[in-house]
Amino acid sequence: MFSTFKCQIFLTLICIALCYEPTKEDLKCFNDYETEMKCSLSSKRLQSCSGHKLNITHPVSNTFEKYTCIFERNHHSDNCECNVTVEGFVATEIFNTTLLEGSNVLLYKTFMTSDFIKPKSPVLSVQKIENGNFNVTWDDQYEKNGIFFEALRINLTYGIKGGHKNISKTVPNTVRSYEIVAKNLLPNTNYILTATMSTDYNDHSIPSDQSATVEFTTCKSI
Amino acid sequence: MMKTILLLAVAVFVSSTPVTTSVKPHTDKTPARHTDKALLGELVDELIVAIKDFPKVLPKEKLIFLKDLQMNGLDHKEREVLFCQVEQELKTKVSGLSDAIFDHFRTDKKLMRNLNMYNKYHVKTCKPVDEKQDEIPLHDFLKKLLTSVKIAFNQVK
Repeated sequence: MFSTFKCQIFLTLICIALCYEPTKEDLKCFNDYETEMKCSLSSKRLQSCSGHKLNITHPVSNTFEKYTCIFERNHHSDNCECNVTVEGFVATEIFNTTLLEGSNVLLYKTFMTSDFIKPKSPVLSVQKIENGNFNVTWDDQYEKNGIFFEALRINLTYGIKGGHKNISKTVPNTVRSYEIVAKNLLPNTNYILTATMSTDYNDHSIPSDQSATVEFTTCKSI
Repeated sequence: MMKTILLLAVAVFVSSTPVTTSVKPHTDKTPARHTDKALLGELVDELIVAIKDFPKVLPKEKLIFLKDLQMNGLDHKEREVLFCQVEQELKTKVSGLSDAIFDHFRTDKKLMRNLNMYNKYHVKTCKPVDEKQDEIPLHDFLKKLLTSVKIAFNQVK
């Protein structure tokens, strides 16, 4: 009898293990507050992306915009990812998503636009200026200006290439540039600089992906 | 045998029930100040663009007149009433017009969407516009509205 009971437990556990149960943490969506909404599905038990999709309903005024986001494997991250193009975002609008495997509903999840904004990564540029300092400028990658861009801030991080200690500085996006003072750096040394962007719309809770690294080298004597 | 099947069935049932979650549930309560700031700020941006794009001179048949709503010297509550009436005026008299010059005022465009979301949070019932009110051209209506929205935005800041 006891072995029958063990068998029952075993079979139950097998089923639980094999049946894919996504949790809310498995489904993540972000919007760039311009035109793109990107979603990813990550789970160790997710064998294949195929057949998985997200039906998205977006109430706009008195109508509903509908999108279908079909997941595909991202070979860099090993997650299932999909994206849709939206005609502009408004801070408090809602996206209702239904995660499907075939016609089987796995999960419902609702997102409010401002809460899941993940800004675009900035593109950095560094130039040595006459006084020997380094002028950092960036392109926030957004076409328009306005309140959203004023609410962005850039988080700059720089340090010795190959080193372990970094310096971080946060400045409003509207400042457009930041000067790294050379006398605070070591002479004749290679430095690397990266940055992320975040927005006041969600209290800076979701930073952008990290920018590409830029390098700069200090003079032999500072 | 029956116990095994029953356990398996329960396991399958439990694992196949869809999970319903919200990142942050949509609420009818007044949103955080930074949300009001975002909605009003975006409305300012969209109005500036709409006014800039709108032709200064129009042929007679394209002249649109809206009620000359009281937009100056309002307190917060009066401004909430105003914005709701503004939405109604624009929706009924401009949003449905086919000419491209009225594109900004379509209900799926950001100007009207921001106005709509602001009103959803702030006004339960829209007070009807006084039909005896005088009317002014759309361009003048928008300029007066922009001033009022800027004041509201600065008060949230």
